[in-house]
Amino acid sequence: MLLLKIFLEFCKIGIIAFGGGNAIFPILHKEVVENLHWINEQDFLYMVSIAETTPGPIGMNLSTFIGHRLAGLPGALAATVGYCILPFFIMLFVAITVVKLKENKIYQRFLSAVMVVVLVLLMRAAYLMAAGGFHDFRPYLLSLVAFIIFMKFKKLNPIYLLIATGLIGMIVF
Amino acid sequence: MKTKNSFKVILELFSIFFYVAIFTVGGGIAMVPVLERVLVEKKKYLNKEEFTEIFSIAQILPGSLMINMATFTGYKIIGFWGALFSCIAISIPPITIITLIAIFYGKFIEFALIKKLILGILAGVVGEVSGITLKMFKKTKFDTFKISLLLISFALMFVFHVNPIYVVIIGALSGVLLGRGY
Repeated sequence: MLLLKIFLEFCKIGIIAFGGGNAIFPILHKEVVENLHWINEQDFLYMVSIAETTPGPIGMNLSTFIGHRLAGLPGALAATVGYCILPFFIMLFVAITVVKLKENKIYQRFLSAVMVVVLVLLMRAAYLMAAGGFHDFRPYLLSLVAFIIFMKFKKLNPIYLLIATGLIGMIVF
Repeated sequence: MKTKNSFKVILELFSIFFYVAIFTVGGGIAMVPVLERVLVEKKKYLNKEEFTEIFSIAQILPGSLMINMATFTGYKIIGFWGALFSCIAISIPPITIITLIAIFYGKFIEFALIKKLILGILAGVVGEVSGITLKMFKKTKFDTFKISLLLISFALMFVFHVNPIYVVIIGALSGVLLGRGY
């Protein structure tokens, strides 16, 4: 049963993919390219480059892509659902627990410290996106403009801003 | 939320997460500024503290940030079905787009104009993520412990390139032992 195998494999990958996105490349590579020989090296790199530049979470994109390569649309679904299902239930369980912990002193201390680390994680994410994708000063300039508009116009839907920067990108990059 | 019936709320969450997913370029983090503005400021489903909590917890659990955020947000607002339908909503765009690309074997991603479009969106995402970072930064009530934690985490991730998950664990433990809460 190839579909079941794909599903279980991606269940495993979903659960060990801490930190999402980029963290899963080495894990997927080891499993899918080195251990299972489902995808060859060159195709894997190609898929990573597509997954990084298309909408959607990178890990999910890669799962869909690999699943599709192995078994068409059913494969894509098996891989993607497998990738999401355990994190979904873990998150759900945590959500149910955390909603009850609201007044707990230890949880508050835990959360307030984690929020500080998350600030650094956000900075890191912005840095990695810029460092990985921006090849000259123009995208940086566009980012700066987007930053200022985002901060100034509180009512603006950020999606319109993204559409605008996308269109500007088509013209000036 | 009592005034609206839950079916309507679930439908609304579904549509929010669906269109947010279409514009998530460069990883799940791109959805954070958009969700903050839609869920907190426009629809008032969550307050700022709840949103930061959801984002922080979602970030430190295994699995994609987007799945985690959709699950937690959906659950917090309307319970299990909210969580499930939010997750389904964010899965549809990536599955559709990647399947199309897989069928056409990436012909249109090679297309220079699409690359420029994506790069433009990415630039916008970087700007918005910087904005949301600044907003969260301003909102944090810094004491000596939090300032030290901020500096240490920054050094560990940017200078020593420590895996973020270890930094989160160190931060969480030190917060439980030494922190003062909010």
